[in-house]
Amino acid sequence: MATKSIDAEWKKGSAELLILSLLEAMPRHGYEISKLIEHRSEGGIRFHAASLYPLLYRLEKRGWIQGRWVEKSGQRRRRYYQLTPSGVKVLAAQREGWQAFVEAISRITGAENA
Amino acid sequence: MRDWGQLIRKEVAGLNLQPEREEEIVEEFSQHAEDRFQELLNTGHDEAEAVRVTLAEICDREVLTSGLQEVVRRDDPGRVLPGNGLWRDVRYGFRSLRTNLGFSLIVIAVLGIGIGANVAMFTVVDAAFLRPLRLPEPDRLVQLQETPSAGGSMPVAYPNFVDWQKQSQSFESMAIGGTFQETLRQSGGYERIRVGYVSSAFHKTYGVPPSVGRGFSESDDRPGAEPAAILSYRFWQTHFAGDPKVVGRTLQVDDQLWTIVGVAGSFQWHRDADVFVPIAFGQSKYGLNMRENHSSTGVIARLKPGVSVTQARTEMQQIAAQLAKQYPGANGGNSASVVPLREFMSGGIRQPAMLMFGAVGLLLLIACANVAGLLLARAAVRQREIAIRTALGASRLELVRQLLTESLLLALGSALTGLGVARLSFEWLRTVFPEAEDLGGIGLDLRVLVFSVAAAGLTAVLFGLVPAIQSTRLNVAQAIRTGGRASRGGAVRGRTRKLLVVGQVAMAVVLSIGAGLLVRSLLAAFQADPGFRPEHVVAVPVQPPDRKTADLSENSRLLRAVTERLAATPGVLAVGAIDQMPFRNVDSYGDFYRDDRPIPAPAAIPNAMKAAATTGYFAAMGIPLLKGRLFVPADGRLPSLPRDLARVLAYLRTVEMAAVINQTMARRYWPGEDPVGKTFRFGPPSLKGPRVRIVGVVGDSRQHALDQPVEPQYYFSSDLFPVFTATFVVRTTREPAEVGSLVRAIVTENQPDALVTQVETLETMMDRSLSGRRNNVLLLGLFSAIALLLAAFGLYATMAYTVAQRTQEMGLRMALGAAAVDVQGLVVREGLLLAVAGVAVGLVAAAAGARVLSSMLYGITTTDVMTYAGSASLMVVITLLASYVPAWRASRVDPMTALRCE
Repeated sequence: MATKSIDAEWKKGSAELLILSLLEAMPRHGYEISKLIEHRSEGGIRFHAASLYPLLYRLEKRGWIQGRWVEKSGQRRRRYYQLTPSGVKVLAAQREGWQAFVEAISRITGAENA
Repeated sequence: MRDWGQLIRKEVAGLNLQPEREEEIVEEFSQHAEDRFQELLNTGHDEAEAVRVTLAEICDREVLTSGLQEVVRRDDPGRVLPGNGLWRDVRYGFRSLRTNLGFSLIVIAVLGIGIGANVAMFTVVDAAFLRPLRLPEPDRLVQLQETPSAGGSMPVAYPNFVDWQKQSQSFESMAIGGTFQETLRQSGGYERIRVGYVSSAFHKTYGVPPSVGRGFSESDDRPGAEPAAILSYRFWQTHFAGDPKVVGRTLQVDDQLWTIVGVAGSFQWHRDADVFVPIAFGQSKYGLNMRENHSSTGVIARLKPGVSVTQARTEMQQIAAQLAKQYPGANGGNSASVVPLREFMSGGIRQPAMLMFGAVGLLLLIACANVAGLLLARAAVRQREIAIRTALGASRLELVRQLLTESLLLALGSALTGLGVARLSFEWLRTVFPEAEDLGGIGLDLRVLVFSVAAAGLTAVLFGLVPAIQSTRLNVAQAIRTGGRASRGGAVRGRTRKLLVVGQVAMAVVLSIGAGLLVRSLLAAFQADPGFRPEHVVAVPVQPPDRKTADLSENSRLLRAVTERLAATPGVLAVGAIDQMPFRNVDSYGDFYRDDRPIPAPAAIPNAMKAAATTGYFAAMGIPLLKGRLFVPADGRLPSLPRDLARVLAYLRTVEMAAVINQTMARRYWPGEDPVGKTFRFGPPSLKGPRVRIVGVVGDSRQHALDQPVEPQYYFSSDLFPVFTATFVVRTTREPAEVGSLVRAIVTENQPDALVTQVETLETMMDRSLSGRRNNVLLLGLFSAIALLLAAFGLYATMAYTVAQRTQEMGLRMALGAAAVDVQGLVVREGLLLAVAGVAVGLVAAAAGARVLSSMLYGITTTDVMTYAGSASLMVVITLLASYVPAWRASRVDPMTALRCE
C-alpha cells in the first residue's frame, strides 16, 4: 500500500510532464503511451486507462496536445495524440522546472548522504 | 473480440455526455481494453483472469471519475449559460422522469389530488367570503333584521320597516321582500309558483336594472294601484321563452290578474321567487300590516356613500329602541341589527366551508409530506448518479439547476392534475354549496391555483434539492462505491423520512377523527327518535284555492271530507291532515302566555311552534296521546269567513279554542302541573288574542329535521283554526303513487280548484332533512379516506425503502439463524413504532382541534371515545398492513444473495 501511495503522489506531479515528453518525438495513441511509461520506468510507473485518458483529455482541453482519429489498414481506428505548438512551449518550461526541482532535491538529499 | 464498448458505455451512462463525445470516449476505452486484454493473454493469463484485470483497470471508478472530473468540467464551458442549458435541463428532466415513470406518476397523482382538493374548496370559500357579490357596489349592501332580547334575529314586521324607512338617515334606499307560494292559473292548468312581495325600491336597492321593461315605482306599491308584476329572469326564460315583448301581457295568480311591466336582471337574487309584485297587494292577505307579524320578510338596504355599517347600526338601534317604547306590545325588547349582506348570506355555509377548507389544507400537507418522503428516498438512490456527475465535472450550480428543473416539472404536472380534479368537482360542489354559487359563483380561481402550485412547487423544490445539497458535502468516491448506501446523508434523510411519516399519520388521524365524529353524528341523527312512526306513511300536500274571496271554512270542510273518504278506503290504516307538515314546510311560530299568571314583559313572552291539524293526524303519524283527549266536533267549527286575518281573529276572540300541546311545552310551561284543562292566550298581549284551553298532551315529535331539537308546540283543530295550505298524512299498505292519485281524485271531486302537488313518503322527507349533514360526511369522509391512503402509502414507501437498504443486514441475520418471522417482526415493529407515534400526536391534535366541529355534532361530544379509539385502531391496522408487505419481502431475502450483492 505504501508503494502505491508514493506512486500516486509522484504521478500526480509528474504525469503531465511524462506524457508531453513521450509525445515530443511523435504522435502516439493512449495504449502506446501507457505501455511506454510502464516499459521505460521498468514497471515502476503505471497508468491504467481509468487515469490515463482523463489526463489526456485534460491536456487536450488546455490545448497542449491534440487528438486525432487515424485509421490504418487492417486495424480499428485509434486516436493519436500529438503535441501542439503551445504544448511544445509548456513541455520546455515544465522540463526546466522539473530539472530545477530534481536538482534542488538531490542537493538536499545528496548532502545528507555525503 | 469482446464487446468492451457495452461495459464501458454502462459506466459512463447517465453522465449526460454529448452523444458524440460519449461515443468517442467509449471507442477509445474499448480499443485500449482490447489491447490490454490481448497483451494479458499473450503474457500467459487465462481468459477469465485477463478479463478481470482489464475491467478492474478500466473501470476503476474512483480513479476514472476523479480523473475525468476536471476535464469534463472544462469540456463544455457553455453548459452553465442559461439559454441552451435550460432547454437541455428540461429535456434531461423529462428523460429522468420518464425513466422513473412510476415514481413520477405517483408524485404527480399525490400532489395533484392535494392541489385539486384545495383549489376546489378554495373556490367555495372564495365565492362565499372573499369575492365581491356580483352586484354593483356590494360593500354598501346590508341586511336589516329585528333582534329579540332573547337573542337571535327574526324577519322584520312590515309596519316596522315602514317606520325604519321613514326615520333612518344612513341609507340611500331600503326595501322589504317576502316570498309566498301561490297558484298560477294558465290556460293549460295550474301551477304553484313563488311570488315575491316586495317594496318598490327592492330591485333598485340591489342595483340590478331590469332586463326588459321597467322596475317598480312608488306608485305601484300603493293600495288601489294597478296590479303590476315583474318576472324573474328565470321565469321569463322558462315561461315566456325570453320573449322581449312580454311587457303588457298578463298573469293570473289566484284570482288576481297582473300586468307584466318588466323582467328583473339576469342575476337571480331571491332565487326562489318566480314573480315579483308590490308588497301593498299582500298586506291584508298575509296580515303584513300587523306589527306582531314577523312573516318571512327580509329587509335590505344600501348605505349612503361614506356611511359605515357601525354608524348605520347605531342609528338603527336608536330607531328600534324608540319603536319599542312606542309599541311595547309588539316591539318591546326588540332591537335591530345591520349586517353586511355578504356576511348575512354566507352565514349558513361559513362553518362547513371553512371546515372543509381546513381539511383539504391538511390533505395538502399530507400530500406534501408524502411526496417529500418519496423524493428523499429517491435522493438516496440518485446520490450515486449525482456523485458521478459531480466527478465528471458537473458543478454544484448545474446539479442544483437540473434537480430544480425536475422538481418543477413534477410540480407542473401536479398542478395540471389538480386543475383537472378541481374542475371535475365543481358540478358537485355547486350542489353541495348552492349558496356559494349564488354569492360569488364557483369557478376556477387564479389566486388559489397560484397558492396551491406554490405549495406543491415548494415541496418538490425543497426536497428535490436535498440530494444536490448533500452531494456537495459528501465524499464523491465513497458515494459512487457504495451506491449511495450508508453514506452520511443517509441517516439524516432516514430521520427526516420517519418524521414525515409520523406527521402524515398524525394528520390522517386528525382528519379521520373529524370524519368519524361527523359519521357518528349522522348515524346518531338517523337513529334519533322522530317521535312518530314514519314507516308506510305517505304525505300528500294539497293547496286549496287561495283567492282573497275564498271561504276559509271551505278549507276545513275539504280536509274533513277528504280524510273521511280516505279513512273508508281499503288499505288506508289511518289518515289525517295538518297545515305545518313536519320535515317539509314548518315555519309557523306563535306567541302565547298563561292567562292565570301576570302578563309577562313583552320581551319575555313565550313562543312555540303552532299548527292546525285534524284529530286523525296524530294516529296517522303515530304520535301518541299522553294525556287528555284529541279534538272533538264539539270543539267548534269556523264559520264562513273570507280570507281576512283581522276578521278571523275577531271571530276567534269570541270563542274558546281547544288545543293539544306537546310534552315539551307541557313540561316547560306547566312544570309539575297537569296542563290539561289549563288555559293560555294565543298571540302577544297587544293582539288580545283568543283564549285557548288545553285538552290534551301528545308526544314530542321532531319538526324541522332529525338532528334538530324538539321545541314546544301546540296544535289547534283545523276545524276551527284557519288553514291556508295542508298536507294529508296517510298511513297505508298501498303504494305511495297509488295513494297520491287516490287523494288527487278525492280532492278534485270535492274542490276542483284545489291542487295536489308532489307526493312523498315521510321517510324520504326525513332522509332529505339530513342531506346537508350527509354532504359534510361525504366530503370529510372522502378527504380522510384519501389522507389515510396517503399516510399508509407514505409508511409503506418508507418501510419498503428501509428494507431495501437493509437487505444485507436481513440476509446476515437470516444466515445467522434468524427465522423469517423474526425479520418480519423487526420491520413491522419499526413501522408500528412510527404509526403509534403518529397516532399519539394525531389524537392530541384532534382533541385540541375537534372543538371547531362541536356545533356540527349531534348526539356525541367532540371527545367521543369510540371515534378516537376507532380512528386510532383503524390507523394502526392500516399501518400494520402497510409495513407488513415490505416485512414479508424482507423475510424472503435469500441470505446468500443478500450477502453477495455488491
